[in-house]
Amino acid sequence: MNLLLQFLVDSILLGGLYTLMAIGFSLSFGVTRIINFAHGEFIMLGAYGAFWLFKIWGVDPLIAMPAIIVLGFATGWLVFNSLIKRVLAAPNINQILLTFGIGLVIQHIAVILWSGNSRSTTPEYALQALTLGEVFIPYGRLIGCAVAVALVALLIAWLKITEGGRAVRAVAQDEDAATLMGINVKAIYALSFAISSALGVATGVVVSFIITVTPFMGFPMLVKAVAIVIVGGLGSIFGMALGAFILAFTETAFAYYVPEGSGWSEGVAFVLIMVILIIRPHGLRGQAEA
Amino acid sequence: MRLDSLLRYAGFILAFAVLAIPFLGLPGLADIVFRTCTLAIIAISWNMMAGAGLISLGHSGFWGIGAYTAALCANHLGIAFLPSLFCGLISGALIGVGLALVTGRLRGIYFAIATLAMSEGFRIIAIMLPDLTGGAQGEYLKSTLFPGTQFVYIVASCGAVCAAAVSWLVSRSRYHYAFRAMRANEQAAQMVGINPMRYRLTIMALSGALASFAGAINVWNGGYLDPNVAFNLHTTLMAQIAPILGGIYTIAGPILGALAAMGLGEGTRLWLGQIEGVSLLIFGVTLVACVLYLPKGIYGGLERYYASRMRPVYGNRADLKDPKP
Amino acid sequence: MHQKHRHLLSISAFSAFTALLCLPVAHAQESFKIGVPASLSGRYVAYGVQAKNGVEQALAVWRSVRGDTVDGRKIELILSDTQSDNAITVSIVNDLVQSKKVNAMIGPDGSNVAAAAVPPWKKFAERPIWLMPGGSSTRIEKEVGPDPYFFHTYAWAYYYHINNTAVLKASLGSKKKVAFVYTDGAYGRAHIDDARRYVKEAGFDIVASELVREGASDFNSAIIKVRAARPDVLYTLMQTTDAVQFAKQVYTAKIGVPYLVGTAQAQLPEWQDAVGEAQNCWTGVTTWVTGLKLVADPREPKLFPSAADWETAWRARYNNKTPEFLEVGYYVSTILALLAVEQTKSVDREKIKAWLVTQDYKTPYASSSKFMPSEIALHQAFGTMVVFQQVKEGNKFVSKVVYPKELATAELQACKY
Repeated sequence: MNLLLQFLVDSILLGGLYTLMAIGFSLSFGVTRIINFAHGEFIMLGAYGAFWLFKIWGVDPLIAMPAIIVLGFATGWLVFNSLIKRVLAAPNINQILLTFGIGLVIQHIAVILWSGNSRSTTPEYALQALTLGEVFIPYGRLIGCAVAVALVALLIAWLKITEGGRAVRAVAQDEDAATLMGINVKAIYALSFAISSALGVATGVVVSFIITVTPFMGFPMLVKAVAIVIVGGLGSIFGMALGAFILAFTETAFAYYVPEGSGWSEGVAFVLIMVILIIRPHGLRGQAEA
Repeated sequence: MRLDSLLRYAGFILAFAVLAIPFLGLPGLADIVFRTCTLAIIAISWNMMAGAGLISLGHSGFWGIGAYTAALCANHLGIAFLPSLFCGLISGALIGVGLALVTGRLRGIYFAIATLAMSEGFRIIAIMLPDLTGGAQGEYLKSTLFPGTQFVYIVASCGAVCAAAVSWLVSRSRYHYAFRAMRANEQAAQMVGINPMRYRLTIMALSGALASFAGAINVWNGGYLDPNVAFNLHTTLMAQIAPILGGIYTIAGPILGALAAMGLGEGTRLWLGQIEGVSLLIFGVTLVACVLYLPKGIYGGLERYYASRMRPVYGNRADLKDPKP
Repeated sequence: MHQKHRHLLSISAFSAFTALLCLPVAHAQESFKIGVPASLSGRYVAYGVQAKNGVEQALAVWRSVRGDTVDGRKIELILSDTQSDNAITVSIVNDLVQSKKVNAMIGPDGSNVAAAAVPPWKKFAERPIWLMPGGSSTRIEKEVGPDPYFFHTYAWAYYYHINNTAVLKASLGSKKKVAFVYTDGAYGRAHIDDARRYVKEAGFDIVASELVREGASDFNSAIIKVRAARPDVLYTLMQTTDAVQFAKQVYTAKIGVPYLVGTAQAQLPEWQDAVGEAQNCWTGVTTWVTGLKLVADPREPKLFPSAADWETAWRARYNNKTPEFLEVGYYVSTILALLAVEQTKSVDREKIKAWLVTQDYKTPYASSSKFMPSEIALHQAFGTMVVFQQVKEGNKFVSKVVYPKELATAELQACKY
């Protein structure tokens, strides 16, 4: 019985972590429909940013987060305008390869600059946990969950309330109609890509004290993000969060209750993808479209 | 000379060279030719599927299945070199058929992600069943069955030439029109009377068979197999880079691209490989540059060059300088 | 007329030039070629860099002590990037062995890259001497160990566990409970069977054996199950990246296990920096750790100085960086290869093999470089390992060697909670 309580805690915390990984990606994929293969690398950059600030000046990652988010926003804007804008009209495969190439370049610049060694930030709270009887709740992950909830709420609010957010939703629904409405579509694409990069970088900051930081940490997170967005459905932030928690619960269930389950749990993401794609391709809460 | 006749001549010369090189006794050259051949086979395979509108992000799945089938047949069933390659080929075709049936009507990015899920799923199965596949530690091919490096190289060259021939034949057949229609718009193609499922089954079986053949012969060359290597994202990546570099949807494209990609890879590795991280970095930069500046690949570049050099049909006829109303 | 003269002139100039070029080539002594396949990019880049550093330091020391040649031959180092990729490793080994015809091959590093290098080397009848300062998998040992030209200059997987269980038995006595946590990657799978075997032989009870996924974001399920089994020893088999996260999660969970046993990660500065406080009382087992009391070799004190002197020289060259065990391993292997050529006055592999089999030096890596048979392999050296523990002293953590007795500077201690 006590396993069950810890299982629930772990699942929820992992769900928060997965939400973080997917949130930036769901914005860029949901709107611009570019599968941004470099999203994992933006997370990695955020993690390294937090790490170096922590190591050299002892700045707590959470305090460094706003500055790093701004940097992430600027980087995303730059990358979009210099590189990605040019393949918006090209076939899907060009965009995939372009962003993968960008990811590869960022990865190896990181290797050259910072070496392939494993890093981590170690603020005080990252190594402590709240203990309630038999159950323990690590503070680091709890904070990660809190940040995830905050970011999701902020993003949904931004999309619903602000002009920019509503323009983004308009472009996602129908690009031509949005142009007719006087929306500068190219600028909206750039904006949403920059925000998704900022979100990715924020994720990296939080993740720096939860997961090991290496230049190669990005791609597995991208794969998870893809699974989550597919399950949750394109265009729906709430669906993405739902997808993240479903994935987290299923994986943790495997890890706890199936012998050698941890090994198989990696496959859960892919089985879920297949199941959703076959039964309901537009995901749990996505907009039904080709 | 026109571009397509030039390419045809070049193709014949290349095929001859590729078949002759294993006999020359130059091990370094033969090794590069081998790797170029296997890359060309999987590039042709990917290009065939892409030509029908099916972008695959999981081609390493076929490669790995072919490799494991060949390795397991050889080690556990004592099957010899050529029959094990055949087993690999068949397994690839079966997986292709399975994929077509499972993905049904999925298109575009959804289909791509389904293929990614497939190849990752295979990788996890291979890791989690160590008694069957040797697991994460890997499996060595029984060296007693090894037919000799030269023979392996020859078979790979033949395979590459056959794959090119197959892709050429497909482009000449009726199927070609159906694939192009499906690529443009599958729903519209259906309305014209093309049954997409039938064509999907055909192309995926064919494509899967070729890719698995490449994986199978590669394991005979390398002699060692493990799940991360067999189902490596890098393989999928190269299978896409080559056709894109060379010219997607064309016949010469995957071959030109395989040559270019291999040249680039070897060049960066040999001249810059001593500095950490640089060789893959340059590869990434080249990838980005090619996607941005050469979207139709080398073939597109050649086409443009030829078009710019072509004299207009009506030349310098004086009577056209001042067209009368 | 002028044209013809010009042609004649250029042809004769060109021929003279080519002839001049051929002269030094015709008179050149055979050089000693060392082939080093190393992962200088890709996921094993950290190991590849260490390989390169170790080999380059060896060549630099040789040059300063003996000069630019060995036995009058030029030393030619061929360093090739495997890109951590199996297919490229196969090509590189083929190239080194068949085209470049190296006289000795040293490397490669990461586990499956090392494994991939075996078939292309093995199938060539005229294969060169191969020194492998890495690769601990039993599968490699089975496949290439019995080959007479293969020299393993690192520990096999089971050596880790022979040493770990020896010190645990000495400190705890038998009838204690051990819980395993291992990853589903090559590293974990390579070690778990041997670890289980030696733990059982030492008389311990295995109360849990949890598999975790390599690269997982959450190891809690395994940690909780381990806690439920209430073991005395938590024995982990994972690579650095996972070990960082695992150590932090174990620390946060405060499961109260008195002995935390790791393999190589506990000595790596990168692991120590990344986990901070959580490294306290973790043990590790390794072929080399800084501060070992190893003395210089009496015959070759400059090539094989004491461990302390060697480290001083290393820090001077590499910007005060602490050396890592791979770097020492590659250093010693390269020096052995060079000494072999010098002492046998040839690059003939039979002579080198015969010399390697009989040599025995004190090295900064281990007190003896003698090659002995291991369980399956013919030539095994540097299999002796030390077990150490991370102990907090003031504000920092130090590695204290706890086994074997001759090199120990402290006793193994239980973790205090």
